[in-house]
Amino acid sequence: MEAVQLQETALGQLFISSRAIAQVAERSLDECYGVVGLGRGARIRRAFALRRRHGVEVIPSEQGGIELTLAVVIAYGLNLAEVAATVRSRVSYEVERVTGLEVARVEVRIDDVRSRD
Amino acid sequence: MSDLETESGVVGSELALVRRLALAALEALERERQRIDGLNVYPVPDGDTGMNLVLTVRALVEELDATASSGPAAFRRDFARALLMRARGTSGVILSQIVRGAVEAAPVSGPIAGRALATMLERSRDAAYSAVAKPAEGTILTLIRELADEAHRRRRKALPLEQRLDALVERGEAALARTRERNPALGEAGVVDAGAAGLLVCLRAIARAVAGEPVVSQAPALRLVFS
Repeated sequence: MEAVQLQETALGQLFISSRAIAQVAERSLDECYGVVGLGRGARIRRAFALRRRHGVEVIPSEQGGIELTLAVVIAYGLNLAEVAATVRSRVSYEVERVTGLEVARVEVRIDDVRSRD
Repeated sequence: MSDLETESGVVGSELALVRRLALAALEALERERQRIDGLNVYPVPDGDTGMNLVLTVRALVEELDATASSGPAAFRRDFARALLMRARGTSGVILSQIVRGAVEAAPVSGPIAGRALATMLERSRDAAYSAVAKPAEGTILTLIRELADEAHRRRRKALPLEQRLDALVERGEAALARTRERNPALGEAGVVDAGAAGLLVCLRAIARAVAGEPVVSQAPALRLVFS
């Protein structure tokens, strides 16, 4: 099932597709400083992944929230650890703000380091 | 005439000058840290932009102290490494790119005239923009771009460096005010961009130091540097 439950009310349930979540994550990744591209989804494939979309993987967390794996290409010459930390905080903030889901964990994988173009 | 225009190509005195400018920027950032933290609603409202800029610039000053006695080649290498390793937060990482661009393009010796200043700021802008896929408007990136434009526009005018820097500060203030309209997140919160505000604080402090205005020192962290 490619969706995560957001709410359950007397009238019914509300779901958000993992594709929509991945899209939100991807949009904020584009604007993250230091990120010059998205990694290859294939490299981070997991059997239980709900959805892979251009380097963003969304997995339901056991505690009810979601876990994200982000595969990114970072600009050459930057501090990778610092960029990864800002990517993590920015994407989890944006996904939580838009979806209301708790982001329990964000794994950042640096697929490549290169200059833009 | 400022030091920048009269000093010869002696490495030691240029290092001392760079250090003095960096120190002026650090002191100004430390004085305004809380105000900058308070502006920080974008990209993540975690109120740490001022602190990140202070930590980043403090690392630069420490690096300048540590390498003051070594030769220019060692200095450039160590400085580049400090910029890479000790930048903190998004605004710190961008600021370090800005500084790196300017340092790389700075004339090896002699005065910084209109063209040289324009080239330095253009390199700063290019270095800053080179590390992001989709640059957001109304940020520190917008500010460095407008500063580079202004320096380029005035590059052929015969002006003393102090006046050139004053003009940059003025353009920077207008550009900072406009960040509110360019970035919806800032408009909603009714603030200007924290990173851009921090860059302008640095620029204003450098302009004052070049003009020879005394640098006020109160921040406790600086005693180490002075002693």
